[in-house]
Amino acid sequence: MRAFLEWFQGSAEGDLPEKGRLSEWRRDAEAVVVDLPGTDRLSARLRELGILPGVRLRVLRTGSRLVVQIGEDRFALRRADAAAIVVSAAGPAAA
Amino acid sequence: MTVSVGLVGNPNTGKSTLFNALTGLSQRVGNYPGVTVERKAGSLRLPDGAEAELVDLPGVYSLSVDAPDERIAAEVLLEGRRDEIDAVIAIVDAGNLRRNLYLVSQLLEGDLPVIVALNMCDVAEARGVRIDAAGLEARLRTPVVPMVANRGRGIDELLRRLAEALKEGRPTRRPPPLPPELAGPVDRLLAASAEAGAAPTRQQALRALVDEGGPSEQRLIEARGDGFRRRLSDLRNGAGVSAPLSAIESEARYAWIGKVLDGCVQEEDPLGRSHSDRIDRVLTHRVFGLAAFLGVSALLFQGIYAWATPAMDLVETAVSTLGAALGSSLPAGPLRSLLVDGVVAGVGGVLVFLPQIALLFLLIGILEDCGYMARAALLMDRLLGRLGLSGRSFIPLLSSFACAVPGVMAARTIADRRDRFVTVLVAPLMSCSARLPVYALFIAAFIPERALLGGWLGLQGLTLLAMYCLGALVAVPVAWLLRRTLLRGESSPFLLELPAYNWPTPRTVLLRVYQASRAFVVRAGSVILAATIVMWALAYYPRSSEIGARYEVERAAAAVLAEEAARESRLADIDRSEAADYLRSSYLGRAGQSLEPVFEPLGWDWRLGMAALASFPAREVVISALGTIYSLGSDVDETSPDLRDGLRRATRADGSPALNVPVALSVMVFFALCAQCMSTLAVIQRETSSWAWPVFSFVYMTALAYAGAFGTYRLGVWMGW
Repeated sequence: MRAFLEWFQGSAEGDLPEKGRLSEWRRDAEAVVVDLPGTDRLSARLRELGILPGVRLRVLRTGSRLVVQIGEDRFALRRADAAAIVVSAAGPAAA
Repeated sequence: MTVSVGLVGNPNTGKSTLFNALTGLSQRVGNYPGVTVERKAGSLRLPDGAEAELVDLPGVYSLSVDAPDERIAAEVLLEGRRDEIDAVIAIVDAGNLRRNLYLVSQLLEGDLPVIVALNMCDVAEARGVRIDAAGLEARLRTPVVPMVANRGRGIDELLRRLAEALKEGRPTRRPPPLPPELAGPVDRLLAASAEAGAAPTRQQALRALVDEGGPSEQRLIEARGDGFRRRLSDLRNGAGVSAPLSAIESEARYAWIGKVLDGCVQEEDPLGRSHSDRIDRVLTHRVFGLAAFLGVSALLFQGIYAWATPAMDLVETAVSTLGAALGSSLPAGPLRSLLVDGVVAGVGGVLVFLPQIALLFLLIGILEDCGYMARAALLMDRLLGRLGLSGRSFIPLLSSFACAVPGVMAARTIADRRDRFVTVLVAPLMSCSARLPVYALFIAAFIPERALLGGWLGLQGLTLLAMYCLGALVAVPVAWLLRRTLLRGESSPFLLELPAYNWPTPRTVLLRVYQASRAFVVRAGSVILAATIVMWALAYYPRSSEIGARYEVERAAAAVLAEEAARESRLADIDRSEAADYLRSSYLGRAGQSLEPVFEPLGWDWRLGMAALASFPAREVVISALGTIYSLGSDVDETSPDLRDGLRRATRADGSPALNVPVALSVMVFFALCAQCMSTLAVIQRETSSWAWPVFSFVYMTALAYAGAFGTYRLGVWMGW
């Protein structure tokens, strides 16, 4: 039942890790970009859109396709691609 | 020589709105020489009365480009290739300056005058973003004009500053400084190229180094030979370069943007929650989002069918009035037959569908303009990803529901070649608006009106929805197979901006409706008119005098009948069989009857078969062909262009009805899957630069259509529909 609710709501309970991949990040929790080391075109495009070390993000949708907020931008990307972005927790998560 | 101004900006900044506001109905669409990317341009009038051309460049986030359409923007802006422009209007979203200034910072490195159009100031202000436009202008050292393009605010000021900039010519501004890690290789490249003459500019040198495979690198290698590739790669990986150049560039630009914005822009909470986010909670939800998507689609198709009826009735009445007026004022003979049975019944029969096509473009335009399409693409990426495509293919495929030609062209936004080709090959399977007349006609004639779901959906609307789904469903295995056979390869990445929801701009939406409707009417007046006249001639000639003589004898015999009612009905019967005899003995009739074995398995009589063959140039022709055939084959004096009745009353030689529900469904399925459209095949040829792909499209789609129509007919007969 709980697994179903988590899937249905796209959010999970429990403690947040200090550091991890964006693909595993919790919905609505803020994250600070630590590293985006890829040399591929997608990584370069993400950097052009401002996903650079020190930038704050928020995950708005979890699942196989993520929606990530950077400032006023919202971008959709696949979970596998989001795994290339290393993030850390940014203070208290907003409700 | 008029001056030419380029309009450039990130996607979703209101670029089309500004373009429409500046150029209005003067816009024309052409092609860039040598490539197939559309060149959209219009004329605008400067405050001093001079005219200038405005070129709408494809939306880009930066000058590093992937897809063919983005490449054009970079070629024009960087290399002056394909299109000479004298100045640039860079439109930026005032509420999203940080990301939007990235492109501006790259543009400022060039030597063209740049005017920054600070758009959507009202939305930004409402969100609590305060911008000091004068301060921004001073720091960027280039004109900045605050505006609200969809309300026309700031347009005059923009034109005034543009005229000033054009008069001043090449600007003298200081570009954003490059960090040493980039400046070093750029200087070395400039030094290496200076010896040979025809040196690149500093901006071009930077792009050639950073964007591997980009237009600047390509230009340099064309000029210096293939050996120069080595040189560039050495410079990229030379001493003092610790990271990919693109990463260094991005960091340096965002650092510069941070300094520019500091103190000029005040924003409350950069990670604030917006209305759009709350709407997206539902519309991109894994369950509710899909339900909403299906609901929107159902409403779209039901709406097209239900809401267009009054306007269609109006056109239909006008067409039949015209036909009747022509029929009674002209003497009997070939001219009357050509005008009434050929032109009015044929082209008029197609024009009846104009209201539905306008409505389709209106609804799709609204969905696109309000921002919903990106959400739909997000939801569809999961499905498309399984097929080896990405959500990027969604908009080309959805546009193909309106017309495959713009759909195929929209695939230029897909960076990956194999993805693009698969999208192009399955796009014609989507039910385009040219199929709508076919469905609409056969549904109205044969599918009973029955309310389902408590009146929310009728059986007719449901049939229409099923026809629309059919092509999309068939596209799934086709795309899957193509991605694993002819166009095998890794799946491409997916990154999509979700713009904030906003109310659609009536002007932008209506302009699209106008352009689509105009194209449809022009087509009806050209291709379809020509095909109709050929069809009419084939169905009218040869006029055998033997048939005429035979029926004259019968008429004389009937004329002596005493009772008036009996005489009239006998004469009408004679007219009908005479017309049918003429049609059977015409060129078209003879060809059709000899080909009947081909159509028989589909449940079609030879007249349907001929109409389908005749519609090779364009699917809508089948309507005009049927109109001509059934009009010629019916009571000539009645001149009723109501094709629905004609189809219902048509009989085979043995007197049984020629069409029934299984036959109607079989025809609809055939047209849902066939490739009967020259324009689409031509555009596939252009987009793939090969004749093999359009031939492949035609063969596979025709085979699918024949098999599908056969199966449907058998199923219908077996089910007893």
